[in-house]
This record gives sequence, C-alpha cells and structure tokens, in this order.
Amino acid sequence: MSDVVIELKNIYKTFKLNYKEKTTVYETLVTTVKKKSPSQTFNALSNISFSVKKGEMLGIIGHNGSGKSTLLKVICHILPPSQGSIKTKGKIIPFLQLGSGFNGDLTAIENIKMYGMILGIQKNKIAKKIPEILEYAELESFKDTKVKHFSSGMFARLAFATAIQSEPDILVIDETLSVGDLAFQQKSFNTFLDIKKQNTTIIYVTHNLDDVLRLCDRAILLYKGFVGDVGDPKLIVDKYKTVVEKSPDYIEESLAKEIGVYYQKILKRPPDVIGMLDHFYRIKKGEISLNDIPSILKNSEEYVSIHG
Amino acid sequence: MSWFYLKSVYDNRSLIWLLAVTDLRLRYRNSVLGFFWSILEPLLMLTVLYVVFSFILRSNIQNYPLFLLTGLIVWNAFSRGTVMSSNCILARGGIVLNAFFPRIVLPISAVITSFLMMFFEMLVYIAFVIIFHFQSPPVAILVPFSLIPLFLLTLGISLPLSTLNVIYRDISYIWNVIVQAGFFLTPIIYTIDIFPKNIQSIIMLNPMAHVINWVHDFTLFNKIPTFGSIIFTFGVSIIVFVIGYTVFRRLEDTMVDKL
Ligand SMILES: Nc1ncnc2c1ncn2[C@@H]1O[C@H](COP(=O)(O)OP(=O)(O)OP(=O)(O)O)[C@@H](O)[C@H]1O
Ligand SMILES: [Mg+2]
Repeated sequence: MSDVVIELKNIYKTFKLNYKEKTTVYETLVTTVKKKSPSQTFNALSNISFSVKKGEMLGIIGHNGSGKSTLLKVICHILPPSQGSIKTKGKIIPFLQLGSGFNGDLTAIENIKMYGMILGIQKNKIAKKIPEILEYAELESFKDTKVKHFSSGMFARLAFATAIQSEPDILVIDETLSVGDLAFQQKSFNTFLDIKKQNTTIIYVTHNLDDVLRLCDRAILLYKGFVGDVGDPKLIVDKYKTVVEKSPDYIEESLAKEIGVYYQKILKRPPDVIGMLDHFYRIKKGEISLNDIPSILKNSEEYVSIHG
Repeated sequence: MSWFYLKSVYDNRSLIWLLAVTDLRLRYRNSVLGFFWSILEPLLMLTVLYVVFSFILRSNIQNYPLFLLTGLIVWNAFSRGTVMSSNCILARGGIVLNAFFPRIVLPISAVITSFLMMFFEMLVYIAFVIIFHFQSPPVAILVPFSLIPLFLLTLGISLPLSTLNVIYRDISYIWNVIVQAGFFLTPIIYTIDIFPKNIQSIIMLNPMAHVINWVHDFTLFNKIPTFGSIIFTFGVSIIVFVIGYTVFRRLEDTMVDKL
C-alpha cells in the first residue's frame, strides 16, 4: 500500500522510573559501591501497532498519563522507541508545546528565524516570510520586543504563525489546535482547516471529544499505554466516555478477574487490553452480561483456529 | 559513522551558524561594555598572570606578555568551548523535546561560538604586536594549522560532555574542575623546560600542550614543530574526535528520556 505514510509495528517505550534513578555521577558511584539496586521500569507505550494513510486525520484520546504525548514524540522521531519499528514518509512537523523552542532574550524576529530553521524551513524562505508571519500573529508592532516580555497568548500566536509556515506532509498536534483569544482561536482554527484541505495527514491528540467527532476520520483510544481500540470516532469516543473517562481504573477487579479466568480456560492466555475494554464497554452498555463471555470467546476466530 | 547523519549535519549548517552567532550576540547584548568584554576578559587575566609570574616568580621567558597572551587565547578557546558545550543540550531541553533536528548541531555551534570569541581575542594579540613593535616571525602565518587539532579536540570532548551532562547532571561541574587543573598542567604560564625530562614527557602526553607549544613556536620563537609532535597531536585529536562522536551517537537517544 503506497498511500500509507505512518506505520508503527509493535512499538514499546520503556522509561526508567525517576525516583530510583541516579542523576549524578556521585550517586552512581555511591550506589554501585554499596550494591546495585535493580532499576524499576515503566512501559509508557506497549505493543502499539497502527498505520495512517495520506490525508487522513487520526484522533488520539485517552486519560492523563495514557501515553498520548509519548506516542506523538515517537511518531515525530523525537523519542526513539525501546522496541518495535516505525516508518514515516514525508516531512513531519510537531505542534507539541508550541513556543517551547523560543529564547526569551531574543526578539520576535530573531525567534522566528531561529524557530523556523529548527523546524526545517529554508533560511531565505523564512527571511521572506517574516512580514507575513508577523502580520498573521498581529504582532508587527512588537517585532523588536524580546519575547520574554510577551504575554502567553502573544507567545502562542507567534509560535503558531511560525510553525504553520513549515508546509508539513504530516502535522502532529498535541492539544494546540487553536491558540490565543477567541478571535485568534477562530483564525487559527480556519488556518488549520485550510491545511487539512490540502491533503495533509494529521494526528491530533485532544481531550476535546467533540473535535474528534467532527474532525477526525478515525480515532484511537489509548489506555495505559496500550491501544484500547481503533476505529470510527463515534464508537471510540463512546467507549472512552463509557469505560475510561468516569474511572480510569475502569476494571473493577473482581469482574476483571472473572473475565481473566474465562480467558485462561478457553483461550489459554491472559486477556488483552482491546478485548477486555470491549467486554467492559458492552457490559456497561447492557448489551451483554458476564455470563455471555464464555460463548463470545468460544465463537472467536482465535478459538476456532486453535480447536479446528 | 553514518553518512546519512553527517549529511543532515551539513544540511543544517546555516542553523549551526545562526545558533553560534546568536549565542555570541546574546553574551554581549545586555552588558554596558558589550563586545569589549571579549577583549577585556583576556586582558584582565593577562595582567594578573603577568604581574604574578614576571615580578613575583621572575619568569625569564622573552616577550613574556605575548607568550602568556597567545597561550591564554588558545587555551580559552578549548576550555570555554568544552565548558559551554557541557551545558548546551540541557539548557535547550525544551526545543530538543519539541522539535526534531540533529542534536549534534547544539555542541557544534557551542564550539563555533567559542572559536569566534577566540578570533576576537586574536585582535588583542595583533594590537599588542603593533603597540610593542614586535617583529612577528614569518612562521606566524602557520598558526591556523594548529587550529585544526584544537578544533577536533574541543569538539571531540564537547560531544560526549553535552550528552553525559543530561544523564549525570554534575558532569559539567566535574569538567570545570578538570579544566582548571588542566590550565596549570599545560605550558601556558611556563615553558616545558622548567621540568626534569621525565616529567616533561608526561606533560607532553597532553595534546593541548603540543598545540600551545606550536602556537608559541609559530608566533614567538620562529620554530616549526617536530614531525613526531605533529603526528602525535593529529593522531590523538582524530582519535579523541572519533571516540567523542561515537559516544555522542550512542547516548543521543537515551539522553532524551532524561531531559
Ligand atoms: N521522560 C520520562 N521519564 C519517565 N516517565 C515518563 C517520561 N515521559 C513520560 N513518562 C510517563 O509516561 C506516561 C505517559 O505520559 P504522557 O505524557 O505520554 O501522557 P499523556 O497521555 O500525554 O497525558 P496528558 O493527557 O496528561 O497529556 C506517564 O505516566 C508519564 O509519567
Ligand atoms: Mg500529554
């Protein structure tokens, strides 16, 4: 398939947990001499596989700490995955924490040049675009002001105005679809729609479920670093609302244990996140009850393929 | 070394230059004396060292102020470059975590900033030469030759320092101490022949000692370094650079998790 522009296969991202970590040479020496303590690890992303087609807009939703920002950084090649492979085609522009690359001691113009070049825009192209960027951000009269004296809204506007000049093939957005005051939010949102129309692939992380419903072609539910489900935004948003949003520890343990027992008995393996979330969703929706689970498992392709 | 990576460094040359020049401008932007600091700093240092060593310790090296000045300028390029680099990635964590560009541009640009400052300091040297009617020996035009190993050494040490300092936050303090000790272990305020032969050969294991001797020989003593010294210094510089680059590439990825 030639129109796939992002392909993730079995991506894992493992972090060493901070509180046990040694951050100075001194600490390292002392602990090595004393005795080595096994370092604790944490999987921020587990076994993530999906692909995105050219021009598609994919929404990613999930609770705080579910790994959304980490996943975006892996897609943008900012964080290397601990395992698995990722392939991307075309120029990726991250809209993560917009303006985090700004240097407060530099003026607006100097920051545009610096930030633009870091985003991979050609030097002479930025120079030409500076008036346009300032006009878009409505900051012409502040062009020689150091950005540390900017308000946070002005800061965000300048960053947004610069970043949209980068002509990405893939735009990766972490909650910053529109910035600034109401009027500017409208303007930046319209710009975003223009970019979308130009067949730009967009990955959009947000807590705004309405945005996902009205803008995205497909959505992913991230749950504790796992893909909880992929598919139609309506279904994914509903699943998120029903199962995850109200209680991130969605699995009432007793229920989870019982489902786990069925899995071991019938499929000879522990339940996977997608399956588990789905059972919970359907139970909460009243479509099925716990007693239906054995027959669901026995009718699954997996069971049929094991038992002929 | 992967050519793809080296090419991406080349493609980012204008970013490297912009970072280096901007850093230089920022240093002087908010100061009363501005750019003159770059000239005053080595002059002040020179005055102190000159007073201490020529009057109190009675050094009898000919043209001692020029001797001190050239050594200081070259050593400063190295020490300033490595010290600035050690913090360059940590200080720019925000941009490293939010945009994708080859991180190696940060230490490279820090080293270039340091070398640009060195060129300004050389203006002081030229002023001295003119003021004191010093006859520069003809081999002085060979000075740029010594800047090649100087650059390789500075960058070769800067690369691993910049990443290591993200993982172990006290690396830059440790390096500061090492650099200060290094100043006295390198023939900057003295000539190597004040030591007995066996200690001399230990001191000359330090490639920076060779580079500084070369510059002294070129600018003051009208001498050309021995073949052995050239081979040794270039050999060590290239090895330091290759090791430094390899360590940087190894740590580049793990480092980002710790930012
Ligand atoms: N560099 C790091 N070192 C250790 N743990 C990390 C690191 N970065 C992220 N984590 C952990 O990974 C998990 C996922 O973090 P992430 O920022 O991706 O969450 P998120 O889904 O974006 O949350 P939010 O909705 O709050 O933005 C969190 O538990 C976080 O503590
Ligand atoms: Mg986040």
